[in-house]
Amino acid sequence: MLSEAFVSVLSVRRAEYNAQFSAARRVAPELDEAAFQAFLLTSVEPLVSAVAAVDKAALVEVVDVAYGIGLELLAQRLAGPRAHGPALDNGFQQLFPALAGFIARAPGALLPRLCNALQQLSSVPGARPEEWSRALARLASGAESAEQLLGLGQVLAWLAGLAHYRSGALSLCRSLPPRLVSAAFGVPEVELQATLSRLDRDPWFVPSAPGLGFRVVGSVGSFRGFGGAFLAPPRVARAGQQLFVSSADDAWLLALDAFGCTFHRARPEELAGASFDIERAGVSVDAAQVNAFGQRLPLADKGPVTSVVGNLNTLLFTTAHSYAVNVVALQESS
Amino acid sequence: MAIKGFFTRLSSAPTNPGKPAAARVFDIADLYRGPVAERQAALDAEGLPLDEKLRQAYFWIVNTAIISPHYDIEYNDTPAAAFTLGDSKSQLTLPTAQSYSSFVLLPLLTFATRRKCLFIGGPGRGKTASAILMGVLAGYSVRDVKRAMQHGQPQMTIADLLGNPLPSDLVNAKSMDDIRIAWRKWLGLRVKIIDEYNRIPTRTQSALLTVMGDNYAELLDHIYECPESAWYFTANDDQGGGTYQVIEALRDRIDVVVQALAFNSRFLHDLLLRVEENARPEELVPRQVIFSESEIDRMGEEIRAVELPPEVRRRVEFFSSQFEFCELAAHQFEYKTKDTVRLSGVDWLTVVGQDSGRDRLKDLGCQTKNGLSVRALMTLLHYAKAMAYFRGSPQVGLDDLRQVLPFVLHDKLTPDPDAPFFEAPGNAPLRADRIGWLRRLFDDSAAEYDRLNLDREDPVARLSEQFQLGLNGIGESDVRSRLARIETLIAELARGKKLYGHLYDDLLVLKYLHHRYTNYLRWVATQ
Repeated sequence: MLSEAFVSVLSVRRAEYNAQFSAARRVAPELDEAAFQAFLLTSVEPLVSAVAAVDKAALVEVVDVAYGIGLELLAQRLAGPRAHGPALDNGFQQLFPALAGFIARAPGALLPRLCNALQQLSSVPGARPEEWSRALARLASGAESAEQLLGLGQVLAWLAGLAHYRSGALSLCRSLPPRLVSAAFGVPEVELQATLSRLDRDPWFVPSAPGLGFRVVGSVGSFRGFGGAFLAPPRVARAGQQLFVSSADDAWLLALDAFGCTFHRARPEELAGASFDIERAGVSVDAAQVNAFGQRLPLADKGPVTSVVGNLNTLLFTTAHSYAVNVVALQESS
Repeated sequence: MAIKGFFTRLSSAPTNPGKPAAARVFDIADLYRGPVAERQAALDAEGLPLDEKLRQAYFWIVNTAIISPHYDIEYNDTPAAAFTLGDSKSQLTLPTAQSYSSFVLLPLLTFATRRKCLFIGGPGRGKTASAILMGVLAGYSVRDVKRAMQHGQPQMTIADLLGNPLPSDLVNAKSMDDIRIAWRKWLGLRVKIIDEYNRIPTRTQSALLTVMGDNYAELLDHIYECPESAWYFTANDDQGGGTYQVIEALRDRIDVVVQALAFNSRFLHDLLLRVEENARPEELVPRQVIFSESEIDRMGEEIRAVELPPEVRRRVEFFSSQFEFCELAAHQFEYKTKDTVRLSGVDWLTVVGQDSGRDRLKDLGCQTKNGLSVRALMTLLHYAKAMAYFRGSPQVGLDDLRQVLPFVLHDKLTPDPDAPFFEAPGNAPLRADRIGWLRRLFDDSAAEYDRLNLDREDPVARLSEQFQLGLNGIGESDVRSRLARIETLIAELARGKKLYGHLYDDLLVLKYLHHRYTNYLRWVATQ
């Protein structure tokens, strides 16, 4: 049931909203009236109620923006009952009410961006939008402005699996309030500089679990028939410190660290001069184990190794038994 | 907001992703970009390079404002798929690189370079609407642009066009200086629109010519200096079908001609949307794509800074050298030009009829009745640079030149419909298709340039480059050797017996070099 606050805004703006809906449906005929009503009721309502509780004067602007965004999202089936996934609806229902104070002050600046971030997190395999939402809702009270909130969101997006933003996020960490960043990493503020220095050097360092060391992190990718990216058994390669995986006629650049792994289409020039070796001395893989730093790690996948490469921090290998790429963190135990 | 959002939505930057940088950089700001459009206008557009802004403007116009699904400016980075259709074996090609609609792009390049564009085409095809959009891009309101638009009509006087002396001053003035002029406001705008310019009486056209050519207006000895402007003209019929014949000097000052192509009926639903929503795209131009005066100034400078590589310049030289030469126009070598025939008033067909020595089908110069003016060549270079700039390229490519050339030379090169080329099988439609003919002309010229292997073997270019290094310190023996080389080269060229336009230009250059060296030799002898 719609709250009184929401009903009052909808009543005041009824003609405008109806016109917007009709116009949007002409552009996107698949926009469904019942689905949109359901979206307003289940997803926008919690935000409106939360905003009404903090700042009634902002209600009209917030509803204006949320209504317009809702039309865009439902037209693309990104939210509402017929959406491809629940991320955006969850955002409206759980995250946005927690950020009501910020959204009330700048709905036009925040809502589209937060929706885009949620959409990106939910569309990248392996990323964790729920973790991002929970962390942002938990830590938002430490931000003093919408800009700080957005910066915090970017750092948390990296920690929630968007590994390709690692470099940008680490730079951002140095411009955000230390209190906010140390809370994001779960470390005391006094240890923040040391943590950031270590993160700069070591992609496998986890601030909340610093002693993990040399380990098999897991595997990434799978056969296209099972929803993965690989049409044929993958092979790995490297160009400098960049790691690549190819399968049939496709190739990807892998951005990976302790928090996630993302695939990005490789350009031919990036693969020019690629090598197929292990840069770090003393590291090797055989059918049953990985050897490095005087340790032997047993492997669950005991198939013949079909390709193996490694840069200074990471070892990748594939076997004849799987379409996955195995990832090993070359991190010396501290 | 939804329908307004539809009309004000911009394409995401970069609109023409070029070759990416070697090292891949992931921008964390991308986290907040995605399917939901930004609500804070101009948030992303600020700080965009101007070429990107220009592309954003282009894509906003073609995707939203003007329904023009005609991608006639085709670029390919891999071979294009081509299909042969119909009895006439028409070719439909599917370009593989970002391609453009000339009806939108050329006016936009005109806006960026502040030159002059003529829209031609039947009534109701969006010529005036496009011109108005250009005014709005310059930051004027739709109302101001419409009010400032000059509508050509048979009764239009110079006063209608430029302004009036104040009546009280006319009575009381003791001298011309005392008469104040109420100048028309459109003269001060940076985008000037003359609707149906071929309905303006000839005398008023002359006043317009002064404003166009010299950028000032004159009334009763008073001068109004106009700002640098982009000009847009419209005409329903460019072939003399207006109320008045357009004076040649005025036509010659128009830099590009673009044709408004027919409406594609498959896009009727877009028209329906506009009717039902009462939407006028020109009133919904996103402010991210509106250019300030300083931005247009800067854009002009950036366009001029786009490099034209020597190998591309040589192609222009070779192309332009084909047309002015007319072997039977005069006895003296320098006067063997089509302009000599034109000035003499001798019948063109009489002169052409005597030309029996050459292969008139092969000679590209035989397809035209005139050559290229300096103004036309400068315009061509300017638009080629603008095209490269628009595509985000630091230098002009041959394709850029090829694409703008037909629109620049549309009214500059006059075809000779009686030329053997147009009689050849399959070429008859090119009598009507000026754009297609000019593009073919350039392609044939490029093929001839390649056949002659001029990129590698161009002795005239080598001699010119040698001369460009300067004469200071060159000894007498060196000069004599260079003179001998020039004479040998002329003799070699003469051995071919047939004279073509490009040879004519080369021979005149050799004569020029020979004379400069001869003069220098005389001076050296006195030292």
